[in-house]
Amino acid sequence: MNATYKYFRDIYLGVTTVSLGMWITFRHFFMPTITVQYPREKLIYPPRARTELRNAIESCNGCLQCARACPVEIIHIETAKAQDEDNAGNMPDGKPRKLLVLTFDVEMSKCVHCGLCVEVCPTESMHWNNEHEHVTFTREELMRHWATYPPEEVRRLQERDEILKAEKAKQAAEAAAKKAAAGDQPAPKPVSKPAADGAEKPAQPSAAAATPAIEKPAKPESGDGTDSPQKENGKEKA
Amino acid sequence: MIALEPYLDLIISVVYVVGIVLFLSLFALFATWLERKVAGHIQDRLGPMETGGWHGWLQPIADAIKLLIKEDIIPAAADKKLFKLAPYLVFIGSLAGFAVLPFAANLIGSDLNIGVYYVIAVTSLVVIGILMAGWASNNKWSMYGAMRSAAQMISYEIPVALSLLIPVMMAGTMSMVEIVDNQAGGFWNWYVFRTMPFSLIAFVIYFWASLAEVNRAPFDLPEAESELVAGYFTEYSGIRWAMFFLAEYGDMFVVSAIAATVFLGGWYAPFPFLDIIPGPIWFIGKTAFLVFVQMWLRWTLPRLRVDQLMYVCWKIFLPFSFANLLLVGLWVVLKG
Ligand code: SF4
Ligand code: SF4
Repeated sequence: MNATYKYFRDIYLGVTTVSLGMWITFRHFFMPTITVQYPREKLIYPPRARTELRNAIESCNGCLQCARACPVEIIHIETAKAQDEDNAGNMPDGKPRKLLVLTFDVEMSKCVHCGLCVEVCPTESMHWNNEHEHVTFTREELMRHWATYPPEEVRRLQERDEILKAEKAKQAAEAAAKKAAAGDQPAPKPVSKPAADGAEKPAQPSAAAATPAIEKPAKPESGDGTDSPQKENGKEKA
Repeated sequence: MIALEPYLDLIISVVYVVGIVLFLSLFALFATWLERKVAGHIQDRLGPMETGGWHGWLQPIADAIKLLIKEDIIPAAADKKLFKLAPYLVFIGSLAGFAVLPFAANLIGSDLNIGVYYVIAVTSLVVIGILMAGWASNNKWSMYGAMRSAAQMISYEIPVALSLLIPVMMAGTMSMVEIVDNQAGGFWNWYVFRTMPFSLIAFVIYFWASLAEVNRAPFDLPEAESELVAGYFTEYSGIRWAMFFLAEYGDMFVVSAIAATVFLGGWYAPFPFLDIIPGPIWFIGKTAFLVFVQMWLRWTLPRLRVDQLMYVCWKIFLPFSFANLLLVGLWVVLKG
């Protein structure tokens, strides 16, 4: 009895489930397809899709945060302090531009699309450009150059920066010497440090190089603040 | 002219055979395209879209050319004679079925008085070719595929034959043309609706068992690509592989055409007033519809296990076919 019941039940289930399955596939037959005919039609990616990097260079302030964040160290930035003669203009937020971004190169071929550079950028100039077709024949073509300065201009500005920095260092040394003469501080260390900086790293972005030496000449740690960007810079050059 | 007279029959036969081979090739080309379209749309895709512009209609031609110019590899350890012979045997088995397909009242290769019997016999020839291919390839996948095909054949042939006997009994003849002629005058005269529900059950059983005959999902065990690479034609490439492919689609056409002939009224229109449309169009249309259903089933159902196939064929199809046969026999006797 039970076996008979099971036999007919199996047949019933077989027939009904096959019909149901056929009904489902029949419905799918008339559903709109989800295929996108790719080279001719393109999907619009969501705004945060990690596609290809782009730096809106006019709003980049050269803070190097992206270069520091990048886990594969493929962002190479060189900056120079902006002078009055440069007419560097304002940043998008209205404040005057302090640094000229001389070179801003990204080796897209090595990018792991982790998005950290986009994440840390304070000015949001680093962003995903929503295009993914960065296919090229050579790896060199995947090198992205976003800075607009021609090479000779880069060299000129770097040299100018170097000279200015050396002057600043000299002034700082004099100020420190004066202070040392006036007071009782062990001045030599902070004095020698910025001087060495000037010699080694001409392209070093100001921020750390000179100012702390003037304001707090007494503290030995002031050197630490300047260290890390310099290290980055050193790596970039290597 | 006078000298030609004795050869007229021969010439007509040759023309007919060439025509059938052409038709079979065209149908296979169309069916591969349709298959991919059906598969695509069932899976919410598009299928081939590029070759030839409109919905990739030239794709099968491109594939055919690709197959023809491919290297023809014969494994070193294969039994070369059998290996070369097998695809032709399979192809001939499928082509021979076309001889008795009545495209119209007078468009038929040969109106044998044992038409149905002949079809059952020659379509079994395919299995010999498959066994030959599997054995000659000297490859375990091929061997498994061939063995499964043989085991499958004994399972499906009996339900197929028993279901085909029902319209034969109702018509009282095995001739394809007479069977169709008995179904003239509207779809309510078709055998599939004549002795409800028995002939309908016979039709369904025939259709399902014929899926096993042409090795299509859910009964595609002999070529089960996820288990056996490609089953019995694993070692074949190029033109020989194309022969198997052609034979498979030819078989699909033959079994569907037989179903259309004996159950669905052959070349007759569903309504008498539609008979102005020529018979071959109805016949090919009905067949193409059944081929479409075969594809539809293939992209709906997963493959059965071997034991499930045996269960379905021996324990479900067979008893039902027998019961059907008895009841329809009774009906014929009482009516006659
Ligand atoms: S997204 Fe690319 S460039 Fe940006 S931090 Fe990650 S690896 Fe570096
Ligand atoms: S973090 Fe943004 S602003 Fe800073 S250097 Fe990189 S891109 Fe420019």
